[in-house]
Amino acid sequence: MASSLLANVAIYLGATVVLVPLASYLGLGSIIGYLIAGVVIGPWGLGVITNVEEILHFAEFGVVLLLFLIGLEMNPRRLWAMRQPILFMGGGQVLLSTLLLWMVALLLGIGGSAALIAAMALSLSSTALALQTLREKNLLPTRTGNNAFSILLFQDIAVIPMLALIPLLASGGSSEPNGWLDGIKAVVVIAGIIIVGRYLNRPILRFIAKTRMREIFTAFALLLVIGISLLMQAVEMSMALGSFLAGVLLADSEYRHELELEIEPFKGLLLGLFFIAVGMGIDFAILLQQPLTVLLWVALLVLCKMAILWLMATIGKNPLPPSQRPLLAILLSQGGEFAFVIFSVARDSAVMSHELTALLTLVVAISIMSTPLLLLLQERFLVPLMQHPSAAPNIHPDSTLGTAESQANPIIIAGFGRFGRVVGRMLHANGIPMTILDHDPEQIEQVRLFGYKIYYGDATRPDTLHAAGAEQAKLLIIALDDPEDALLTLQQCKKHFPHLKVLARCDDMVHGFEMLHHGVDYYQREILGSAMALGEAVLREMGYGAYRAKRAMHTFRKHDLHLFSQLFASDSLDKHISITKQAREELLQIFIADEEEIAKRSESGWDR
Amino acid sequence: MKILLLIAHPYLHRSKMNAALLASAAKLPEVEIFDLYETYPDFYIDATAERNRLMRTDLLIMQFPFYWYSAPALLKEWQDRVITPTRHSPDVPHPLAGKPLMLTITTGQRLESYLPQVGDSQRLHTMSQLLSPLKQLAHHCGMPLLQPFTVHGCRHLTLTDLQTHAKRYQNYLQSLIDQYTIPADGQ
Repeated sequence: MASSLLANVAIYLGATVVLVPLASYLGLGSIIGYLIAGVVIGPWGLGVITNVEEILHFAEFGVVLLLFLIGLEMNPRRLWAMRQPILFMGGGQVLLSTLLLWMVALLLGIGGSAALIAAMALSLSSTALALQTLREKNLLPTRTGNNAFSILLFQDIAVIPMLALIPLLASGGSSEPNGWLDGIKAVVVIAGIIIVGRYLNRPILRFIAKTRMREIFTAFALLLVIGISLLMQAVEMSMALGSFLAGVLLADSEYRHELELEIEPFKGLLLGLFFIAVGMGIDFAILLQQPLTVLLWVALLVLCKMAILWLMATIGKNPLPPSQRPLLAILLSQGGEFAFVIFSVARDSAVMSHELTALLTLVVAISIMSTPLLLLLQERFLVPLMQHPSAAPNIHPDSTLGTAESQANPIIIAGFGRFGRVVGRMLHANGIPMTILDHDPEQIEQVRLFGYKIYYGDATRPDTLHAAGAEQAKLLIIALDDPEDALLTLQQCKKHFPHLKVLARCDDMVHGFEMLHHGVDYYQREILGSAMALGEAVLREMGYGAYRAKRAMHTFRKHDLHLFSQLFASDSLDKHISITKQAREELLQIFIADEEEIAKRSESGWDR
Repeated sequence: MKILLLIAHPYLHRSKMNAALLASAAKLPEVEIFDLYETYPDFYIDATAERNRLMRTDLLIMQFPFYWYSAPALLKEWQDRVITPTRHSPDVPHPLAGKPLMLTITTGQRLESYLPQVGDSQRLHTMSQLLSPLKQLAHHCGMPLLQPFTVHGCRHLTLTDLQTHAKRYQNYLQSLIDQYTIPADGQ
């Protein structure tokens, strides 16, 4: 059993590793690569994998993780601000698409209740495909992204009554009393998720973070999402919706970035598996038997959905600009993963025949495949066409980056201890926004109370910096107390985010030496300023006037800086001895140079 | 021919006129613009470096806003630290002797505020009188004082005014360069 599991994993990974980069290289995008990989290894390709439905079910968890991540990027405030598009765009799309598809289905001669169920199921779009595409193209912060997301969110909620309707249609409404009980259960579970998310998750995360065991943090993050999914499933609600809710509740927490990092790879792989499963699920037997029917139905489905989406983007208080409407229409034109679920439930409760279920499942799978291709066509032909006359700049991927950029902070502070806090307070006082990273849970807890945006994370890791918005930021301030960590962060940053200017706190002259060696843009020795201020106070005590003492301090600083730059610039640096060792030795020379400075001062009469 | 333009403005980001004038000056390769407040924000002036800078230049411009009838504090500190009377004998000329000095002054008030008016106790002195300390300094060092370049009423200027003054400044600086450049065949 274990070996066959490993063999299966090897097959998936192998197909992925070969076909996805190939598809990307050909400009088809990763999703098509996964779908093709699925076709290749599926029952109609090489036939190495056969238990398609099982895998599809398992891989749907990728969608759950995706929505958890999307939730983390929302917060209750932003969600509330989106209530209008969710209700209007989402509600309108689901309602109108269902009506139109129902009519089409009846015209095609599908029986009454089966036609209604099919229409409802097909009105839903693929969250996995649409959101993954939006994220890949960095379009989520744009208006198109917002609208698409609103519609998808409404669809996730709409699944619940749809699934509840199937047994009613099957048995003529005999399960009425159970409906009440289910409703109460659902409310209790959602309330439970909100309470746990709001009041329990953060203390638990803090406790785990304190143990400093990475894998436990990862385990908890996964357990959280899986647990919520199981709870939601128990009351027959959308798992994705539940994990989205959990994500939203953690969006404001300091562990957001860290959670994102831990979940991200799982999401990526499972989502890939999901698309592979969709590819595998394509039943070529039906396709070969009735190719025209299948293709006609796919075309009808996609066209109907696009028409409704276009309509929704055009009407309303603030319609999308014409250049963006095709993108939205294509993005959500396919049938989604929920359709698979609804179809199988409908088949099991005998609302839909086996043949119809298989046919519709195939139609949905092909429609999912069609979307990346349509998007490709839209990008190649439609965008240049529409951009020419109106120069619509906000559809081009490059300029949408600008929208995302405006939401990220220009400054990242790594380390918010005694040093970083002073820098942060000063920026705060000047109204300059920043993202702060620290790895001391207690510290974070305290500082959060004062409204700072501070997150738990290890700044020495490039992925943490990435999550903190290093791509969009302009400055990285390294204020870590551990000199080794500080150097490592500097190196990682220079390697992965060369555009970032790095301003660093350093331990002493030797540490500063090494920092310069690794390309730091500005450094400040952590105790120099305060020690010199104290020295100035001592001079005051010794009878110096305030201004004289201040000048003496400045003179010393100049002398010190001069020495440092001399040491660093000296050609005497022996490449074979470590800089550190050499700098330590040269530190001795500083004291000698200080002596010389004193001698010089008594000779020259300038600074009287 | 090298011109050193010392700009002494503590809030340069707020002054459109000074920015425009500097942009004009920056177009001339002979002019080195040196921002005092940017270099010495803590008033700790490196006198030796500044004296060396002066020795490398042929003509000195001090550009500053007129604050309470005088230059901003850092320009005074600069004079105190850099042009401090050296212990040279009266027969030996001052190291700066022969290098012309030009003042570029911007004021917030209109020109009328600096014209003497009979019966107005607030306007005791003319602009020229108020500049006496700098004139005397130039005289002490043996620096010929050139016609100052002034822009009055900077608070009330339109964009066109800004451009006109900037162009005028560039022309004036160019004329100084032409006047003081030693012809190539003379060397």
